[in-house]
Amino acid sequence: MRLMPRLKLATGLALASPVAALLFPDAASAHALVGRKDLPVPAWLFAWGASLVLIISFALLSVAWTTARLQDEDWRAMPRWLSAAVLNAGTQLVCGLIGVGLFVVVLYAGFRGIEDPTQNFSVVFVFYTFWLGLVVLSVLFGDVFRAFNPWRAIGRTISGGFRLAAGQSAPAPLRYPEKFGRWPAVLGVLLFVWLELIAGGGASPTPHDVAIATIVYSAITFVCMGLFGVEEWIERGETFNAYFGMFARLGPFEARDGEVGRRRFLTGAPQWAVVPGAAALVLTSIAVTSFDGAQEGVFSGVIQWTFERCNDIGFSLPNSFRIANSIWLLITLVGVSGLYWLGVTGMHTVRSSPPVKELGRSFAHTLIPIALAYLVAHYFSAFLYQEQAQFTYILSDPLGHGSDLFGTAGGGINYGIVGSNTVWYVQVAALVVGHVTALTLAHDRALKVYDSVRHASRSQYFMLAVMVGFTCFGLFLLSQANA
Amino acid sequence: MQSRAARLGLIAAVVVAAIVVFVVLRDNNSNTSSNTSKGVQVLNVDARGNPVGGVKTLTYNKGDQVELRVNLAKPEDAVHVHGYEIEKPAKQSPVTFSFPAKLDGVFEVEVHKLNESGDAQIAELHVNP
Repeated sequence: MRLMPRLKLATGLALASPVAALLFPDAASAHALVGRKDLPVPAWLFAWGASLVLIISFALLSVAWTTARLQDEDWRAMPRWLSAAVLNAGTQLVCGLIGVGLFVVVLYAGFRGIEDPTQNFSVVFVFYTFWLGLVVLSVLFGDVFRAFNPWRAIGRTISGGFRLAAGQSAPAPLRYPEKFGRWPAVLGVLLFVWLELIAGGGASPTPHDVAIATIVYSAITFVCMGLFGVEEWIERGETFNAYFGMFARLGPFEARDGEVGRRRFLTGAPQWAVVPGAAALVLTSIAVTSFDGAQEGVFSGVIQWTFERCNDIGFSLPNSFRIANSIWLLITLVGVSGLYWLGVTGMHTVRSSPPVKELGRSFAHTLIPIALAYLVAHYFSAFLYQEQAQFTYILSDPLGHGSDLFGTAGGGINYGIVGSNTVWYVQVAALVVGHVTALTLAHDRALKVYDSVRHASRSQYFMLAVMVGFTCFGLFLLSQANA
Repeated sequence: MQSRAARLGLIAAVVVAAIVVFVVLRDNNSNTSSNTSKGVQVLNVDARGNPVGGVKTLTYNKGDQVELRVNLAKPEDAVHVHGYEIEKPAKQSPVTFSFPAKLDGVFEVEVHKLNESGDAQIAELHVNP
């Protein structure tokens, strides 16, 4: 996403002035930070990345190991003092308070702060520091969001209070239906990204939109925690826990039963629970990142065309934008999912395959590295810029009203912090590393699923095609104008 | 291909191939483009504050001097070069810019219209590294 303080449609139809003024009141633009976009990856680097992907893929096939090595996690507790230091009641309380505190600031800044999204804590924090930053932290340090999750902290406090008052645990009237699996999180991620990229009807969502969405999501979460139990809902249904938890599977650290532990490299992902909707969650992550990259690049022409047709038949300009972009978001989702399930169907033709659905689920985790690679490739530079904003003027002046809490309100974004060459190499490297990791996970899983090495290897021709497809599509998006 | 030596050999071959292809491709395609915008670039803006003939793409190499002359059909609020954060009042036409392209990347040039009636992009600067 690019933060856009005011409405600006890509090309063609310019808004009639009074409408725009009504919808998007002007905001002081002390730091106007639409800023810098990445140059497309040059053609030669695109060609090199793509050929490297092919060379590595076939090399990997020919040197591949013949017994599964990553399916046993071998999680081991780290020294006791570390667990005692990290997971004690005090740190849990502090982390919970920080989470709830930030949650309150998002709401307060959303309702009371300046309407310019580039100047308001709520927008910059939610879409950059929270949504992207926690992915980074999850991969490096494990499932840290659980500790800071404000809904969990509030839910636990309430159920703890209930226990004190009533002398027994709060009853959970319903059991979480197994067939729901990760589907609530899939819906949550889609709606979150819809808010980010589409809801504004051509501009960024306003801080007010963000605050309203936060309240709606909180209400749903509290109702569901009441119905299914606090930990039960957080573990299974809560969108952000499921989403960040998915990326935490790639990292080495995990806390279990009050102990911090580590596991062998890459052995966490295969343990990602095989439940309904698991494949959909990771495919949705890949699709929404692709859509963000394509929205103002590869897809801009077709989106514009759809937008004009919607406008022709009488929808307002912002609604035409919303409809056109929603349609293409769904098309991206169908395309990305279609590629994966096509590969799974291909794999299914190999003898000793389990049923298609089960097969698809059991390889879902192999796409997590690709989802991560897409995020890094697409948001690396934007994240570095917006975090400078987050820790300078957004920190000291969260409402945009001219306060200077920590003396950093005068700071700004240094766009020279990374140059185009660095950005390109990071982008291509992320996709190539993600590709190799995904292939590694898939090959290893095949050795477990299939009854012979021969069948396992044969099944991987299909997965290889899927992975090459995703990686080259990712490279292609980067080589086109993106935003 | 199951012996350890064969595997290591193959991995080494892949690394060597990747490096060779990288060096060859990179040398044959210098980043600096000769197709750059030179001299004063004129951007005409119509009475509704929109660019005449659409959004112009101007290409520079890092370090080039960017020179713009924005002709306005009527007074606007300001003309703004993003990223470089240069904003000039636009009560009078023309508005001129001259600055060195120190940052690489893609940057928008926008007209901020009077009376809070929105922004219009009039040009896009592509600065190659």
